[in-house]
Amino acid sequence: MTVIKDVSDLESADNSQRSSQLEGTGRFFGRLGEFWRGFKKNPASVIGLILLAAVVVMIIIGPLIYQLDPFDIVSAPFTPPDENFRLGTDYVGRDILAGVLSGGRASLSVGLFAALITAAIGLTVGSLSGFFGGWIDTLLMKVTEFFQVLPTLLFAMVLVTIFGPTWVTVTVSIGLASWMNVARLTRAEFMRLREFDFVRSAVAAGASSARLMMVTILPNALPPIVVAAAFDISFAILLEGSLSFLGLGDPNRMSWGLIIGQNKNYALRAWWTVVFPGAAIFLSVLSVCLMSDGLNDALNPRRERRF
Amino acid sequence: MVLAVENLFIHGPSSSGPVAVVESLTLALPAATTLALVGESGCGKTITALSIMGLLPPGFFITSGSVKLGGEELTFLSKTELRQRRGKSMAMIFQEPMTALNPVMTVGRQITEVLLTHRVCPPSQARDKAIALLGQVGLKEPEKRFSSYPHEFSGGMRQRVMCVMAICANPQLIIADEPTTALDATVQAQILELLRELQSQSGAAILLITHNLLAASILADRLTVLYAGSVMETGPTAAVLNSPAHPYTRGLLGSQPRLRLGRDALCGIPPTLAAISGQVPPPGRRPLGCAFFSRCPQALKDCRDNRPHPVSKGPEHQAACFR
Repeated sequence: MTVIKDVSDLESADNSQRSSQLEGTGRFFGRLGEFWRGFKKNPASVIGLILLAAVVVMIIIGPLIYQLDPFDIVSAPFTPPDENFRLGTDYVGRDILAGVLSGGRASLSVGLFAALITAAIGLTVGSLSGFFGGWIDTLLMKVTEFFQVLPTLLFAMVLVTIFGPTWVTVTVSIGLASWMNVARLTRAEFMRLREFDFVRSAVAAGASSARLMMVTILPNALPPIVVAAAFDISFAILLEGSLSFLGLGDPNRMSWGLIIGQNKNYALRAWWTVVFPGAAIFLSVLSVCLMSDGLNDALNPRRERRF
Repeated sequence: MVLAVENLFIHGPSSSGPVAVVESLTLALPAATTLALVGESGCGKTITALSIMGLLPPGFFITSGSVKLGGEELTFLSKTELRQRRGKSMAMIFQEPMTALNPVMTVGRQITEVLLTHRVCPPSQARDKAIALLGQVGLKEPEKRFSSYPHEFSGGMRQRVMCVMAICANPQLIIADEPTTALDATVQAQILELLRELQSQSGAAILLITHNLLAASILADRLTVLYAGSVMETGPTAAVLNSPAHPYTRGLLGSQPRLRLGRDALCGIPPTLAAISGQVPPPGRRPLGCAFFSRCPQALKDCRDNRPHPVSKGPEHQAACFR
């Protein structure tokens, strides 16, 4: 911890360090380095990132190496883990390892895209609401509150039941059921930033409302929203697991929740059928949560400026 | 006449309904000249500036009067038309250079934004134009500065960037709201010098809003002293400062700190500052007569109930006082 004696110290330290990383792409990597310095301050988030990377590599490369159709019946039901079937088989004799490896693709892709939908809806509603205020704000916030009082899982279940269980409907349903937090956060950030001097000076320079929202305010509002959206990935993974568990996932795609749901009645007789997919869900949700914390440290503008 | 404000009334919100914030304000500002609007905080200086820009905060309205920019009546314009004028034919420099620049955007990008918004030059030339302007306001290594972020700049440098953003579309009118208040004394003089230089190059009219009479005396051709929303005195800078005709102007001058050198300093005579007792009456509780009545050391009986009208005190020099 260094004590900064004088503001000029602070500025010159700032300037000399920046000017070394000024030119072109070096600048981009400089910013990336700054981001990484903030991120690695939180050891838990680094562990989360490593864990997430491991999970992602496993579900992308795993099915290519271990080429077994997760729906194929390959052995007797409830075969315990042995040298042929490392994680055992389920109640009809399908390989659990193949299920866990390819089931991750459904779980994580739904999680990622549902979070993107969440962010898109939340950013649009929140920025319009926070920027314009007045009746637009009142109307949009009433809509947000309406969605917020609906039980999330129940709402997603209703949507999936109506539109049929496919990968797309599951993703869209989860997105539609969970955009409210991002919207409220975006609204709060826009309301806060709207009063800043640099926004006023952009107004005085003739910027239009669209330009103010997209170019002036949004980049300043992004850091906390990115963190919230990252948390939403873990939430969406859990929600996808819940839907599949209840049999509302895409039946043509193996997913972690589906394996657990189908074997839940035999969990005490054949522990391996639920423990391994359960552990996969647990690890991916945990890794995303840990990583979001690190994002918060690295992106939060209110953090202490690092040199 | 670049800017002609006539008999302007602005009303603002209060708990007991709208109250007059600015009353019967008249300003005239020809090209290539500077008018300083001086007065204490809460006198309506900034509200006047914002009303000209069409940026009055919610609840504030121009209730009567006219604001003409280059002969065009601004109070009749729609929101979109006003937005197109902002930055293009009138620009504003703000008080706080530390917060008036977008922290996540390079300085160059912020300048090109303005250039492109008002189609000052084709996009392909925007970068060169911005770099040239950065050099013009006295920043060293303008190419490097172009791709720097605001936090890499000092306060004075940021105010120079604000000046670039104000002048880059060649506006007829530049409103500078306390442009030097937040700066070091040495930098203040540089920024005032820069403003004067830019004015002599572009011929823009400058409306300088300040409570710093020294800054006003350096830059302004004419002074208008505002108190509680009304004009107390107006005239050529030298005339107003050398022979102030209004007790309020005299009070302002008397409360201006001065360096004492030579014999007085050696004798150890403590500097005396003549404070004006009391406070500016808030809008809605202003006296019926002269706005300055409650604090005036020379108030007459008449001053309480009758509002004095501007009286000529010299060539182009007027003061609203019965004495």
